[in-house]
Amino acid sequence: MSVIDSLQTHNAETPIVKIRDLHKRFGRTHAVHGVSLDVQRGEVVVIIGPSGSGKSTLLRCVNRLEVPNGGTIHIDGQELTNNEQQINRIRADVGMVFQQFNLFPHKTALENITMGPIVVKGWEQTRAHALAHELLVKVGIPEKADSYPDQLSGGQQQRVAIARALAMQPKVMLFDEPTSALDPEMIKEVLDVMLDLAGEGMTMLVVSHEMGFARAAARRIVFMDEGQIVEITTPEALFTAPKHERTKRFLSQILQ
Amino acid sequence: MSSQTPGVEAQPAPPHLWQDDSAAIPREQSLKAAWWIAVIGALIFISAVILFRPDPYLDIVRFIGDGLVVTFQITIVSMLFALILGLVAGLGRTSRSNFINTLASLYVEVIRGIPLLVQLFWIYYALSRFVRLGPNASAVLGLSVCYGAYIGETFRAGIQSIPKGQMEAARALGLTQGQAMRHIIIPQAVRIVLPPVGNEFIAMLKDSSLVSVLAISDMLRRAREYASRTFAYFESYTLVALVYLLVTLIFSRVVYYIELGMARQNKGQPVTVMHRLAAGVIDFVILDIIGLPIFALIGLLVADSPTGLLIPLVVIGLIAAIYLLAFWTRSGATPGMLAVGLRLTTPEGAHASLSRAIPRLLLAMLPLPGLALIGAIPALGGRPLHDRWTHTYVIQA
Ligand SMILES: Nc1ncnc2c1ncn2[C@@H]1O[C@H](COP(=O)(O)OP(=O)(O)OP(=O)(O)O)[C@@H](O)[C@H]1O
Ligand SMILES: [Mg+2]
Repeated sequence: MSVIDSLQTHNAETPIVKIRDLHKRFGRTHAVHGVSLDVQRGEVVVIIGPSGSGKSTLLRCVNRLEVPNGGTIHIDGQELTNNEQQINRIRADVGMVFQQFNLFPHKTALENITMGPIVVKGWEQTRAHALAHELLVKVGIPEKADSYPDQLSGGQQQRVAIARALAMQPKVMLFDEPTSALDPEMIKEVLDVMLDLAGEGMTMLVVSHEMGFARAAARRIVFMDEGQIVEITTPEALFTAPKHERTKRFLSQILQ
Repeated sequence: MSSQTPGVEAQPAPPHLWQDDSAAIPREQSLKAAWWIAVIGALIFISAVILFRPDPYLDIVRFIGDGLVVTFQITIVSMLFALILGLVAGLGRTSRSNFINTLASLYVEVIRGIPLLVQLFWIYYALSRFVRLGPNASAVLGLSVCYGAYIGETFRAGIQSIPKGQMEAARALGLTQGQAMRHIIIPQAVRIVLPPVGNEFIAMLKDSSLVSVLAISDMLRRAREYASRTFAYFESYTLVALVYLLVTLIFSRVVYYIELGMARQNKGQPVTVMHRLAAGVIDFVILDIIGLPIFALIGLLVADSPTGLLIPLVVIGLIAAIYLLAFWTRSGATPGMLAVGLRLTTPEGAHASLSRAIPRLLLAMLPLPGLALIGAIPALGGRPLHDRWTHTYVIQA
């Protein structure tokens, strides 16, 4: 922890993700409407908000799966532009975990994980395999290395997907509702992996309505509605004293 | 402790060829039965009439045998071009560039809107005002342009059937568009389009009978020639119909095994010898692109004299034997499977590294189109094959 702390204080003034006045439109829909957000090194930020509020779109702009209509995004000091090579380089530093896992069905768990290092970084197979095995141990399924995705449960698939993203040794990890496609009994195994990751000091930007996770791991919670950030608070403040009426209404809905 | 109740517990069925979970559907069962009845029926009929009424049936069989070779030549050569055209058209139809997309769509729409027979007539008779193409070239051009459009649509559907999330996941890892296509999209798309492309091949085999109108001595044409000379219309056409049926049934079974093999592989079930054979057939077709230039060269050098044909045949046989041995001993992983990223066979073998795959790929310089090409060279040049191969059955013009 101390190493990470010193790292953070050292780079305290440069946020690893810096979003300024971001806009993204789909036709008439203004999916992201002027969002500014800083994510510090080692910080876990959880984004919540009603369906269609632009959470996914915001996340997808960060690794440029969506091209914004306005505003800027800096990753570790580098601005995201239309330069393809630069985008690919930055994407390698930004891991993403999807709601639907999106594992490559024609590759084994191990090959899913080694795909990035081998193809993008040009690693030797033995080196990539060693890393992949290490990561499979980390996510708790070392015995599934040679299984194909359709031989794995949802929770196992999502853990392979996390390992696949980690294999690129990213500086930031993006999670878009990583547990909402899972059966209830599998949610915990994925959240545990994410908690471990947060504990190790990984910078994470997480769209999730798992309040237990937010409470345990998040330093800040961002509440979004209609493409805008309504409020940014700590987990404690959110549950005890939400400032805005919209936040209160939303919280009462998801907490029932 | 626990008492076994006999008959209650479902015994896992032994892995049998037909024991698929879809096999429980009666429709599937009757389809299988129909296949066997048709194949065995056709075989029995053909052998019975040859045996008991050699005149005229044996005569007809020998006469149309040459035609069958021509039919295969035309089909295989056309299929090769159609696959290339189809790949271009399919990629064009999925292109983000408006111009390329429209161009590819135009090709597909125009070609699909004109009957193949009309296309053949147009190429052979109408186009001759500008370029004179021989009957064989016209036939190959017509068939490949026509089927290129259909196969292009199959490829497009295959590529587009891959979920958007696959490309996104690949790009999110930092793969370029091209890398994502190569490693993620195309290998999955190939597995999806292989069965429909196999069916296109069968359809083309049947449609190739249309080229008999261009005075090409394919099977149908040969039968017609025989019938018009001997007035044995019933016998000739019955036999032709049965041979087409037999060939088509056999190929459709191969396609069926390819499909079944993929379904099994997806469920992690074992693959049988038949699946491996099917895999071998795909290899023959897909990987022959490597073998083509080599065999074409051999063909050019030696195929002109009938005895010279023996040399390439021996070479082909040897390579095929080495190749078969190689894949059989490596737990069924075939070079073709490696090349196209399939896993019809066992996972370990099928996923060897590229450096280990290349020597195997070199082994896989396959004979089929090469063989076809050797035969096709004189045929495309306008010299009918049966001039050389048979002595008695040449019709004098
Ligand atoms: N590719 C797209 N094309 C058109 N509209 C889109 C597209 N992606 C998102 N949108 C629209 O943008 C808005 C924000 O969508 P987004 O997916 O970011 O919301 P979200 O907060 O992630 O919602 P959810 O909680 O349901 O996932 C929605 O109105 C959605 O319909
Ligand atoms: Mg979303």
